[in-house]
Order: sequence, then C-alpha cells, then structure tokens
Amino acid sequence: MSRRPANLRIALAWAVVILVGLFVLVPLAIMVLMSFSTSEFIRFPPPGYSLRWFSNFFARADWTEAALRSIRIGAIVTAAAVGLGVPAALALAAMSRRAANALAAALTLPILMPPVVVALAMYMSFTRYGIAGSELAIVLGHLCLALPFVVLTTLAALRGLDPDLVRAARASGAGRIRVLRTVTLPLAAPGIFSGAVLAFLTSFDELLIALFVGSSTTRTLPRRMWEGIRSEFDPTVAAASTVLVAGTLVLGILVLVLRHARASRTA
Amino acid sequence: MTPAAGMSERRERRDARAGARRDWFPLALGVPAALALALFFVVPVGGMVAVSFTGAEPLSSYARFFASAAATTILRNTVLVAAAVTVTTALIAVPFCLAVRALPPLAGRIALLAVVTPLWISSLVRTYSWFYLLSREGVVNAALTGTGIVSEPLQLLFNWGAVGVGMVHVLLPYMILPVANAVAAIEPELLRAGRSLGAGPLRLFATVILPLIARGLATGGLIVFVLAVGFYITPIMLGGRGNVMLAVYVDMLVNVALNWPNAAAAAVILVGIVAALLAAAAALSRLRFARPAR
Repeated sequence: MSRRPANLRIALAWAVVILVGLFVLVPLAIMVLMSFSTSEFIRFPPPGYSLRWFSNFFARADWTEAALRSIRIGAIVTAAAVGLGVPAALALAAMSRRAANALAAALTLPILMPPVVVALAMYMSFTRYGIAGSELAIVLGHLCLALPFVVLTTLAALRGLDPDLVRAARASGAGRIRVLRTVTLPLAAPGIFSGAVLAFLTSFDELLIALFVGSSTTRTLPRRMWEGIRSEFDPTVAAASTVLVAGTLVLGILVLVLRHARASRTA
Repeated sequence: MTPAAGMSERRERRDARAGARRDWFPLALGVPAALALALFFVVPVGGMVAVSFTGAEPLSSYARFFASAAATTILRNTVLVAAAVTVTTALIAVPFCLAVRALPPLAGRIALLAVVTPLWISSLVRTYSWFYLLSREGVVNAALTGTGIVSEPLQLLFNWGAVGVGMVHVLLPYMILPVANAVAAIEPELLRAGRSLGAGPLRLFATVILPLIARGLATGGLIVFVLAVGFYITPIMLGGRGNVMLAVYVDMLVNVALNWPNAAAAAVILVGIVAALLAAAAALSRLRFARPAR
C-alpha cells in the first residue's frame, strides 16, 4: 500500500472523530461555562463571570431540599433494589437457563417501556392505593426501574462464577448460608456494585415518575430543574446541571478506579 | 454456551434434583422482588390497559384516537421523527466507529470513552445544554451574526430540527456502543484480503464491512428507535406547540384534558408500537439463528 492514502485515511479518521466528539461534548462544555455567567439571560459570550447561580443552588431551600430528597430517595431505592435484587438473581441462577433467560428478558420490560407509560400506569394505580403524591410512591416507582439493573448485573456475575468453587466449599462442610456469605456474594460483588450504581443513577435522574406520582411537596431535583426550565427561566438550572455533571464524572471515575484496583488485586 | 459450561450446568441440575431441600430455597429468594414488581409495575400496567377500555363503549377511546386528525398526525410524526433520529445516529455512528478503529489504540479508546460517557449524565441536563447553543443569543446565533452570515439572530429553537438534534445528541451513545463492538470484531485479515483483491473503499464498505456490522447496527437501531418513540423531555423542551410527540400527548390527555381512558388508550398504542418492534426483532433474530452458521 502506498503511503499517501494511509496518511489521508488517518487524517480523515481524526477529522471524523473530532467532529463527533465536538458534537457530543461542546453543548455540555458551553452549559458548564454559562453556569458561571453573571447574566440572567442566555447571552453568549457571557458578560461576566460569577458564582451567583451556584450560591443560589446551595443556599435556596427549594433547591437544597430537592437535591437532598433526590439523594435520599436514590439511597433508599438502591438499598431496596440490592436487598430484593440480589436474592432474586440467586433464584434465577438456580433455575434452568431457559426459564432464567425468559424471566431476565421479562425483567427488561420496565426499562424498555416508554417512561411516560410507566409513570401514567403508576399514577393511576398509586392514586387507588392512596399513596400518590408521597415520597413512598416515588421510591416504589423508582424501585421497579432500578431492580432489573441489579438483578441483571448480579445474574451476569453469578453466571461468571466457577461452580466448582461453591461445590468445593460445600464439600468442605460449609453450610448454604456460609457458602453464600463467604464465597458466592464476595465473588459476585463487582456485579452487585455496578447494579447498585446503575440503580442509584436511574432513580437520581428520573423525571417522569417524579412528575406523575410525586407532588409539589415531594419535589426531586430533576423535577425542580424541570420546573426551573419550564415555568420561569431560572439560570440556577445551569449551576445544578454543572454540579450534576461534576458529580457524575466523579462517580464514574470512582467506579473505574475501584474496578481497576480490584482487577489488579485479583490479577 | 461452551460444552463444558453446559455439562457443568447439567451436573448442577442433577445435584439440585438430588437434594430436595435445595429446590425451594433458592426460588423462594426471588419472591420479594417478584411481589414488588407485580404490585408496583405489573398490576399498574394491567390496570392502565383496563382503564383504556372504560370509555363510553369498550373501544371508544381507541376509536376516538384513530378518528382524531390531531392524534393520528402526532402518531405519524412520532414514528417519522423516531425513524429519522435512528437513521441519523447510524449515519454518525458508523463513520465514527470506523474512524476510531483507524486511530492508534489509545486515542481510539479515549475517543470512544468521551462519546459514550455522557450516557451517565442525565438526559434532562443533556437536552437543556442545547438551549445555550440554539437560543436567540446563544452560541450558534452569536457565531452567525458575529461573522455577518445573518444580520438578525435566527429562531433555531422550538421546531422539529431542534427536537431532532437534541434527540440525536441524547441517543447517539446507544447506537455507538453496539456498532463499536461490531466494528472492533472485524478481522483485519478480511479487510486486507478485500483490499489486495482490488476493492476500493466503497466496495470494501458495502461488501465486507457492512454485512459484518449489520447485527450491531440492527441492535443499535432497535434500542434507539424504541427509546426515541417514547421521548418526552426533548420534544417539550426544544420543540414548539406544533412538535408534539406521542408521550407528550399522553401527558396532555391525563394532566390537561383529565381524560383517563383516552390517556390510557394513547399509552397502550405507544406500548403497542414498541412491542410490535421488539417482537419483529425477536422473530428476525430467531430466523437468523435458525440458518446454518456461515
């Protein structure tokens, strides 16, 4: 192959990658930049830079309450999803592969169904259950979306285990609970952990269930942001978004580092 | 599944049958999760389907939907927008993933990570960021008026174009992930063989690359279309009054018109589109599996 087309190919590849990268990252970068603007309106370039929208976000009760509520709901949902999901994954792992696969496929339904449909269905039923508008309703709604993630990631981890390890532990006289506690669950921990992270993020970012089964006294952060965009144009949303982007990045890096540390420990 | 795994699984099952006590215990572990999903997901969805039949006559909510010009226009627009978004994400993802493969491995990994990471960031935030590009005094208008291309800022928001761009931005990672996997799995020897037989880049793409990544493209396309059909945040935020999608219509029916049966019927129709698509995809992949391996 001659040298010229190869160089041209690489140059073209760089151009495509950079263009797509810009399309994906520039809007987010500009939003982060604009969250430091002094202007109340969208004006590019910003007339000046300040932290006023951040101090709004961290000082105003409507924002802090919503943020804390979202963290609390996310934590409860994650705990419940792990508490119910890990045993459910153990149950699936004990079934025949065929039945387990069918059930696992059915488990993706809450994730694949359009969010508005799930939210509407829950709104109608939760009204009848008498819990609509409460924080409990949001927790239960989010649980249905978060649970499948935990079950599926844990099931994948359990299937990757060497069944001989469990058999060896049993043969050495360990009881079923002990095997679970000392062999199966520690080995499946990375899968459980990814599921827990996904469960938290699912709840933390969720808008439609919070809109439909929540109320103005149980505002989550996404709901507060939604109102800040829709009713009045509140630039505090940009500051909140910047905090979210930073938080998500930190969480992502943390997950990567933990996974890496684990991988190098077991290697 | 490898034969060894199949064997150990069979052995496992024999073990399970041997110890009668082992049968119920693991299965009982799944009961709480099943109960939670039944009570808070299955029963609600079933209840919603039931509500959709509680109009004046059992099917009157559906009849009303399909008799309404507004509703059928919304249905048509929703499917068209979802299809256009799916095609656009594919047209971006394929060249991107091929380009990533052509780069040095580390650069390629970083590029892929940069484009897929936004998946972790809330779609509300990602959609909102487009305000800063497309509004009257946003980045795009500042650039256009600053360079003198236009004298007055353009109205770039609140139309299908803005909705489409926002949806492509949010959904692109879902297309890139499966396509990148498919592209990474292409054997370099196949490309070299094609090239040495005299195939130009286009021919190589059409006869070697495209068939090899078809499955990844189909997976990505299915996910993107299924998600796009149900979009709510982006059409409301970046669209105008004329850019209503089906999910927004469901919301309007229940929260503005306060009509539960009509809202439920519209929701069932929305689920119907998703279900039909998933069923078709499952049938197609079974057909492919049934064919002898190449």
